[in-house]
Amino acid sequence: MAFKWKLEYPITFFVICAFILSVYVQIFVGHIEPSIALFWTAASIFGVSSFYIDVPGFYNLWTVQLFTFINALAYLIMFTFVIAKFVSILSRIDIHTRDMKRKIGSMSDHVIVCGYGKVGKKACEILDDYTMAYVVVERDAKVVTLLREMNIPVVEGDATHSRVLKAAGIERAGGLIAALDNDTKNVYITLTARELNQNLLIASRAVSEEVVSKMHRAGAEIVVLPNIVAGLELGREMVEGF
Amino acid sequence: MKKNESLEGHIVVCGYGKIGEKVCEVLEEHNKEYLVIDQNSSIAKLLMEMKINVVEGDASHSRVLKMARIEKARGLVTTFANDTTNIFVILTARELNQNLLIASRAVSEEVVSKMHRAGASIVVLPEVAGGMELGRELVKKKLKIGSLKV
Repeated sequence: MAFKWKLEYPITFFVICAFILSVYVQIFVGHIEPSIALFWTAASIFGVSSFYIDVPGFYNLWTVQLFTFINALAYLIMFTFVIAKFVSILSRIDIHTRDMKRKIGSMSDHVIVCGYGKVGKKACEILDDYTMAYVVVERDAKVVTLLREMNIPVVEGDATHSRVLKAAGIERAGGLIAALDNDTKNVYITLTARELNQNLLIASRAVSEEVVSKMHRAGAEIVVLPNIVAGLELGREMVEGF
Repeated sequence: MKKNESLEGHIVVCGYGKIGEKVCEVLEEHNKEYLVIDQNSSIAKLLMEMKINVVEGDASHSRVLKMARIEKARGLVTTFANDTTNIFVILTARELNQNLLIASRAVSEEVVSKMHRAGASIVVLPEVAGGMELGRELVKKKLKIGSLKV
């Protein structure tokens, strides 16, 4: 935080001291009536500049002249502090996160994309092409900041936690893409998502071939094997190249 | 299994991960001679036990590629998860053998043109293709379309 809260105490102390001292000096040194002294001090400390005391020779008293400056200083310090505090409070309100929460809360039949790596990014691009609404769940804070800057709805957290999936609105969602590069995690996400929403369409990425049947059993309708497909393609192209 | 020193007209597969494994399976099916380069000694040992030609070492070193008899090879497949490494291997191999048919894996789309310029004739993008497939299949089922043109 840019502003130190500990400044509150000395500033309050200074203002109260100035107030008491001003009233005291006006009454006992300047010999002014207590009510007028109080009135004038209050007005000068709280910055009511149009206030005018209708007592002959009042502004010629040295006490009044001295305390005009001291009270003005107290007023300036107080005013600056109040403004600074106000700005600091304003800056602490995270408008963006609130906005995003509301946005995700109002979504329904959307797609949840777990993991925004190369695979997840491409899947999001395809969803964009068909103007389907989606929410990204990502663990990396840097990627999350980037997505927020791009104004893409995003939930920060581990997609294997049901709480995170709920924050992405899984109960109202229409589809889920598990695009992590870890088979165990993808199976776990599939299971969790299926438990939370029976009507979900689940597509999952798989690294190993053995896990495909497990994913189907866990509740994934679509299973894609990027590495296996690429390996087959590379091998076949190589063989056909001769 | 032939000895490494007597291999000729073979295919060099760099990296024996998921993709490299699948490439080797396809090459095996078509009875092509091939040789694997992998840095991991336990994988190298396993391959040796499986009677597969293997060179243990970093494929980006030209000495390791020479040990894999790249001058006499017909093809090269690079399957590393790192684009920079793949490009470096392609460049080194192209320098050592002009007639090589090179196929490479790429992670990022921007790197495809660079790989072609470096000398790869085939470039495959597993992550990008996988992401597109995931997205497309989901959209297809969701919107209940028979076929999608993207």
